[in-house]
Amino acid sequence: MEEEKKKFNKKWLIVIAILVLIAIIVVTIILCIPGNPKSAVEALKKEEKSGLLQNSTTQSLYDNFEQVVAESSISSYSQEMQDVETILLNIEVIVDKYTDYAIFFEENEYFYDNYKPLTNSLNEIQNYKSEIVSELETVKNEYNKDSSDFLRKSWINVRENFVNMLDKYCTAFSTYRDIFLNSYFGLEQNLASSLTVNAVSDYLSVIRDDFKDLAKKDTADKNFTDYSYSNRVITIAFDTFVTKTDQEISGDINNYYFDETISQKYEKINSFYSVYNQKNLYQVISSAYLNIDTITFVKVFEGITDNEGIYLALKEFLGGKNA
Amino acid sequence: MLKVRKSLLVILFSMILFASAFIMFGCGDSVTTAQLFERLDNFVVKINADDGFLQYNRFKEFNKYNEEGTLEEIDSNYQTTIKIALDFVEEYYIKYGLINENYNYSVIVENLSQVEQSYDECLENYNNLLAVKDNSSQLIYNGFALHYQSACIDFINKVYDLAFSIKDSLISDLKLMDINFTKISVDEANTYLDFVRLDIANDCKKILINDCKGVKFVDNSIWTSCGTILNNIYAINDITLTYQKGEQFVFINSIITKLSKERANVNKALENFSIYNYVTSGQYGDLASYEAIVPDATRFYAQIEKYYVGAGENQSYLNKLIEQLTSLYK
Repeated sequence: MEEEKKKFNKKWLIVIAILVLIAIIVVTIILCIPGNPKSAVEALKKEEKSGLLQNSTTQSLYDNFEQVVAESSISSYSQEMQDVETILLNIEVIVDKYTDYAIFFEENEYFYDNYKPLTNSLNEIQNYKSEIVSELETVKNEYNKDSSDFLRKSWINVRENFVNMLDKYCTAFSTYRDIFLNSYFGLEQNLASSLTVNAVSDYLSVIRDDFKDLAKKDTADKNFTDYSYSNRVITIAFDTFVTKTDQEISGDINNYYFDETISQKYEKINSFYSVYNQKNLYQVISSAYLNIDTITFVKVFEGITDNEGIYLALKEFLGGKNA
Repeated sequence: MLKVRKSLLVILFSMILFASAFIMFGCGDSVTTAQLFERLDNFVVKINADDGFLQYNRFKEFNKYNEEGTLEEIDSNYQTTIKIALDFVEEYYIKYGLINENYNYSVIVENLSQVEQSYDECLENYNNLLAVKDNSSQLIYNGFALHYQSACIDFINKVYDLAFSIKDSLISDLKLMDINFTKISVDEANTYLDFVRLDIANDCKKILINDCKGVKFVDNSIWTSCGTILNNIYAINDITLTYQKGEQFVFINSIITKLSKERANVNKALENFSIYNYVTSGQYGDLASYEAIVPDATRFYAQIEKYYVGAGENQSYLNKLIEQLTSLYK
């Protein structure tokens, strides 16, 4: 009896030992698989060529959706739909610009250790795009003029996927920002470009949070009359900022080291931005577009000298209108 | 005890063997500073004694017969490119005649040997070309001209390798770039300019000689800009008067440090994109279509253009730097 018990225990020990050995081998293999930071660049290039509204068929489907909503009893969604289109088109511009730099990223240790969130996020975005396209096709094929409820549910579904996409873009662009600051080493890595990549990340975070909030309030089981859209300001500001980035800011980035006035301008903006960033971004933008002439400096702006001058410089950089 | 002793003897013998091998193969042929100076001096004297080289007439013989049967003109970029590098070697090899310390000159010696060999091949091809100049068909002449041109291109590249190895030695061994920019002397400022000039000339050589193989692409803005940049950097004169421009030098030096990183991006672009291949591809002017042959062609070309040509109202990085240098060295 004792003998049999001993044999039984020994067998189990051998089984456990083999399992542990297999686990060690598997973990070692996984850890030793070399990273592939080029996949991040490839993901960016793929994203560049597959913007949701780049495809003329998808654009046509979206236009169709906008038109039927505008002619329905839920035409209040029209402004939001236009703004979503504006945001997506601006994201395409950003991806294009980011890819310009990405192909020159140095494959250093930082890049190897940090590229995965960029690759994974951009890959996951493709799934949400497919969901949106599917929904747009359903609207095109199945919409009945008497069914505004059907339209509303479709838009809520599109918005949900849009918010998920924004979430992934936020992860992708903040990862990109960090890699850019640690792996792109040309003349165009300066305060103007670093502030730009920071502002892009912050803008999208604010926009994502705004739409997430809207998605929570405007669900299919809630009353449509409760719907209220107020995200216009940030979308206009973002659109202006991206246009500025493509034109004026690109010139500033290019001439940064050769022109003292440019470098001083961005040092001024950075003195505010590095201390008060995303949380205050909305306040700065909102005050810009609400055209507030006098600024009440609340606590969050304390500790910065020349508040007004710096505030105006930051506002202009972020795409705000002149006060 | 005997076993231990045997083991120790084996280890000791292995160490002696390793040390000997290292001394024989690892150290290689070492030369003293005096010997290096003498070799470089002989080379410079030889070049200066060569009338053809002195007047750069050698490079005037590049001309080939075109389809219409007329001799095409030589591209003067060859002359400016080689002159900058040879001037550098001639000016700075003298430093080795003024010091007593010895350093590891293996790279300089190797490059000098390559230059000497290349020079002889250049001369041989030149003499072959001269022999057929008036006595053969245009086709045969062009064949010899092509050989001569290849030999000269090789010579230019080898001279640049030599110049850069001397520059590296001047920086690491003779500490010529250990400069306090706020109190920079005239000699230091002129040395600094020569070092920068060599780098920029090399940037242009990468396009004109290495990529475009000496072929003139007058319709290509990058090619034409390189020629202009080469002449502009060559034209900046040394400072002859005493002055105090330390802060400007601090600023220029910070630009040049960053430019070296931008240069790395350009090198990456040139590893993937050839101006010569693009211009001769049949899809010249249509980068979007050319992407089918060279992925990211548009981006690589844009990077190269930014460096040498600029865009819109923006000057190229090299032109901006030359503008700063020109104002500094007036």
